[in-house]
Amino acid sequence: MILNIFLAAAATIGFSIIFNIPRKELIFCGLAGAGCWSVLTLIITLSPDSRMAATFVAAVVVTIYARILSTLRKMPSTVYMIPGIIPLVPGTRIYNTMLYIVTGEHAQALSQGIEALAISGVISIGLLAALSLPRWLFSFERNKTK
Amino acid sequence: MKENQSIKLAVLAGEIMLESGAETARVEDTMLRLMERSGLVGAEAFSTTTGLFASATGKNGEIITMIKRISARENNFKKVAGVNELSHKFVDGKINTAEALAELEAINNLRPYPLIIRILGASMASMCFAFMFGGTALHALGAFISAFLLQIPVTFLERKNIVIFLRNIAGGIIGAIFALLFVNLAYIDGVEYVIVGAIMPLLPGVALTNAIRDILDGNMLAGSARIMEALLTAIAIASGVGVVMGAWKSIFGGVLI
Repeated sequence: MILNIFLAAAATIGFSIIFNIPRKELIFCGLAGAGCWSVLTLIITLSPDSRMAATFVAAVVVTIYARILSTLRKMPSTVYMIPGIIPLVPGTRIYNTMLYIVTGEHAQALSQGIEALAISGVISIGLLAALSLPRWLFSFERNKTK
Repeated sequence: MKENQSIKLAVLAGEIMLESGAETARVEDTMLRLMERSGLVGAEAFSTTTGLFASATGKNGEIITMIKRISARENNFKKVAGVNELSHKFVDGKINTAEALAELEAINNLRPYPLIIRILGASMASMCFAFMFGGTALHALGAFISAFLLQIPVTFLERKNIVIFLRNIAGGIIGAIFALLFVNLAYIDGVEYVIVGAIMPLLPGVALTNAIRDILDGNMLAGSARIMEALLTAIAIASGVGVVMGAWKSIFGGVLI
């Protein structure tokens, strides 16, 4: 569990390097990924059937974290958001969809594919929800930062 | 002419941001703020994923407009952050137009991380994901190797500006081939951990996030373009992986899973 949180941080930092995020911000991106993964696994452990709800909450948490940091560190909030939501991306389900198509189990493929789409949708709704919070909530230091 | 310089400043700033992976809402916002601070009357900025326009009225009532078509795109948030910081400095009046233009040129020349570092970063991410999704150390090693080997050609294709769709099919194919080779050479089960880990760095996180921000800002055109990009990328990767798995199954029989 603890190991996985560290791995999530390392994975997110790896992603941040692909996106050429400034070196000073890498550690904060790692924190975003670790936080995101902790929230996700915590909720799933508490109630195993709530994958969607867990994804939603994790996306909201990452976005709020990104918006607070963007004010504190005077950076665009996307710098933290994009790597932060990566642990939520439904890679396993996309793979399973393909696997079931190849092995001819189309009903399974459809269900996995729909689940992958739904998770992406839930990530989007989470981002939307947290991004539509009014800007003054995050402008405690400087109100020109977006 | 002063107005011309101001429009040029805004367009150059917008161009750098859009090329580096910023969302269109931020691009328009930055351009508009730069132009308004320069004292341009009737300033308007418009941006889609593939181009931007800036327009304003000059002193004698003449209309100045500039269009920029964006073709190349990469993810370089060093540049986005740089332009963002510069626009704040300009709006706060700390630098003038000429200085801002010079500084923009410097930002535009910011180098991305060295290629090998980026490839190693992607491989490290793949390795961690293979672990996190329940694989063993051996799976993680396989994911690291496959991701490393698939990133080399993918980065090369990216430099050559090959269509995003083809690039990701290639990524899926190469990743799946090496993952299957690895698990068969190492005599282990669980190829899914290796493949999923290896393809994670290709998945369209930036496109998805930007799409949401664009749509939220009412920029439906750019938003739906980005959603299509995200969807196509995911389908391309999956097809690449699927082709290899299908071929592997028919050549070597049922040793797929």
